[in-house]
Amino acid sequence: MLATFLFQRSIPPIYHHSEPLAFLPSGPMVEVTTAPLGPISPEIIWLAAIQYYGEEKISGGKFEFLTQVFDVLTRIDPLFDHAYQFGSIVIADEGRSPEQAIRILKRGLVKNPSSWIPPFYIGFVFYIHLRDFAKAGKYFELATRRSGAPEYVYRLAAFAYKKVRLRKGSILIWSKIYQNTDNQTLKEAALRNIRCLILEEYLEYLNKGLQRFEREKGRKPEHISELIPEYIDSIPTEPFGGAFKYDSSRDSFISTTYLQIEKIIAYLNNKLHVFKQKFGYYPERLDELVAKGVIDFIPPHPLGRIYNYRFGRVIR
Amino acid sequence: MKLVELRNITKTYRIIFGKKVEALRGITLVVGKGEAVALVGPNGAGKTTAIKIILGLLNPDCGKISIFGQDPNSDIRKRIGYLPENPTFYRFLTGRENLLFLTRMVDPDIPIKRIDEMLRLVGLYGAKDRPVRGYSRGMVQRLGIAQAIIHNPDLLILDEPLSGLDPIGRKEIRSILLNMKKEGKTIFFSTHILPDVTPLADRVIVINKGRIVSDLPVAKIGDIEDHLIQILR
Amino acid sequence: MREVILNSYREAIRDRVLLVVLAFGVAMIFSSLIIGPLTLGEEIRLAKDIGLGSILFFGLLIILFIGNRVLYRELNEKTCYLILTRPITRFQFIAGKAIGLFLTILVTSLILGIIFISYISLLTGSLQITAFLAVIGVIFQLTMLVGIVILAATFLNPFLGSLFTIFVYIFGQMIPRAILLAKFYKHLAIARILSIFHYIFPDLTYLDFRELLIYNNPIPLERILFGFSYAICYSLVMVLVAGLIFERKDL
Repeated sequence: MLATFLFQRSIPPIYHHSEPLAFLPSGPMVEVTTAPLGPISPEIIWLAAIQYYGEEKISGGKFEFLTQVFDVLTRIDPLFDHAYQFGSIVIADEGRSPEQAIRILKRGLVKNPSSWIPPFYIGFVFYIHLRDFAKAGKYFELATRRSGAPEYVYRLAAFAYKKVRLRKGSILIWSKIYQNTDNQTLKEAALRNIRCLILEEYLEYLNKGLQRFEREKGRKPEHISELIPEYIDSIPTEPFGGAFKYDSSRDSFISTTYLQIEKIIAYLNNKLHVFKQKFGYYPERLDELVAKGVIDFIPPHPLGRIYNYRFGRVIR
Repeated sequence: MKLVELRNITKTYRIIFGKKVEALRGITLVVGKGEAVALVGPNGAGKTTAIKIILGLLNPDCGKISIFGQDPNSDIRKRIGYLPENPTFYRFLTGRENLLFLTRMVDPDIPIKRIDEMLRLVGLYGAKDRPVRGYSRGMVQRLGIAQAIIHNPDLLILDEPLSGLDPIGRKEIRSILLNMKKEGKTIFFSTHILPDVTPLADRVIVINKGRIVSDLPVAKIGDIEDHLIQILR
Repeated sequence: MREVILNSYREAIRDRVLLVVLAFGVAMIFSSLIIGPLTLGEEIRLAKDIGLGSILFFGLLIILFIGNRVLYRELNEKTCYLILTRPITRFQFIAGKAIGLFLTILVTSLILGIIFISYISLLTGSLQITAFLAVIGVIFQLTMLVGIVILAATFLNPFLGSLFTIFVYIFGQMIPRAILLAKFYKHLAIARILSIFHYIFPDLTYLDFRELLIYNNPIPLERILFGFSYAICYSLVMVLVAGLIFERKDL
């Protein structure tokens, strides 16, 4: 079974007719079936997980097996901290299934009782993705009670309990992840998230200044420069290389990066519609648009993220 | 004194699908000290089976064996020299290494001199440092004789001792065996080559289809070929 | 018996298969250099697991390729006739063959082990003492498999003997986890049946010190000593049973 699985993995993606990870035995049975591979089994699954993640990311897939592959990996090697960390981040973030990430982490809580990683990342998912501060605080605190927990875990526990602004805590978490990992993919994810959070922070700052201007002057500004230096210090640099613009129709500041995303999404949805008319169905994955010649390439996501494609539509 | 004694030995080989081959059907034979006994019979008569049973390589179905009055699987094997039919050696070792290895199991302190002496005696000294895989059939047979007699055993059990040798080789080996006989060693050998029998044996046991059909001193037989044809008819 | 041990060791060590297997073993240990960068920051871990795994698997291959033949050749080419008619019991003969094979495994595993330990010590920049224990654990695991293969060789030909050994290895690895699984799902009857098999098949997990190697989690001394004595007893019992079967065998 594993041989088939490995063989399937080695075939270039274009020949995939069915999903290779579907051959991976699921659930607790995998602990038994991989046992004869001895110390090599977790390494094989780890490489398979990374490869799967990479392929899905490039092809704009739906990450349907992401949860399963990390579930299998942490069952085979329940002490593998990095698997919990990387797995829970990508499952919750790009896989968009924070509940699944928590399910895997909770098993790690029991099976890897001396590590602070599983409780910390449960807290992380509750804090960032589910915005349940009470539970996040509880798990951050649990992490502090395990040996090796760094100082910022204590700070986060305090943040969560005090319901300190989400963004500040999130930036702290991501920057710590960025500093403490050698995993390039994880570093990129952290950087991307930090940039998004900073972007939000800047927009909030600009819009607050705008609101104060309107309140005090009783009119809309004609140009951004009117706000400087009384209402805002300066126009910050847009973290993704775009610019901040004042959109008079919406009466708020917007980022050109966001505008561009909206444009691309509209473009993709339009093409999806074309696809449907041509072939009578919506594609399984976005890269079918390219494969069937509807478009030449999928424009890269300006934030480096993956398009959330579900049921024939790309949504934000 | 009886050196070899077999009483009512039977041996049946089971082949797959329940087929049975009766190799020995109750044979009884005795070899006394200093005797030279030939075991003669056509191919498939049970000669090799009998010899393997004497040496404990095969377990008989029933019957009693004693050698030097003891069980064959005991230390008395120090006093036996055995030459199997078509002997084989470790192909990756040289003739000398093979002989050294086999002799050390009997006598751990055997001097190398004795090994070389023996190789010279059987005419292999020139080939002693060649791996056995390069030996001819006759050379292997000579090495087989060497390993059987090197530890100066009291009892020699030889399965087809002169097969595979050229006429000169036969003569040489025969004279070595005759010398051993003169020294008072007991020799029990099997053969289906009749001219080998008379110069060496005192007594001839004829075996056919797993039974002993005749057991007579050589003096009483006259022409061995006639004798054999007569009883096997 | 000394002669039998030395001879079977010499025969195995001169086998060309051994060199090929060793070369592949070394190549596999260093293969983590190539796949390392794909592991997203887990190069050291990969090097340790792959290295330990290659010592185990190439040891297993040597046991399958050479171990099955050491006895078969003697029986098939009839060289055993000359040996077993000398003052050596059949049991000593079997034990000698087993020890000779064990020495071969010991030497090859130590060669691979030293290469492995130096490699990961260079990677990490410090001497990996824990790797010694892990390698010794693997050598004991292989010792049990030597017992199994010698037992198989007394009544099976090399092909079936290899199948038998692989089968025993696979089940030996699976059973301890299968028991946990059965207990977890409350299939107590299955768990009980599996526990019986657990006594028969070798439990290699007792000698798995990977946790120490990868995670630096200390392993209690009792567990280590228990593992060692378990492996020794298991191998002795296997050789004993092999001897008993061989005693009765018609050659």
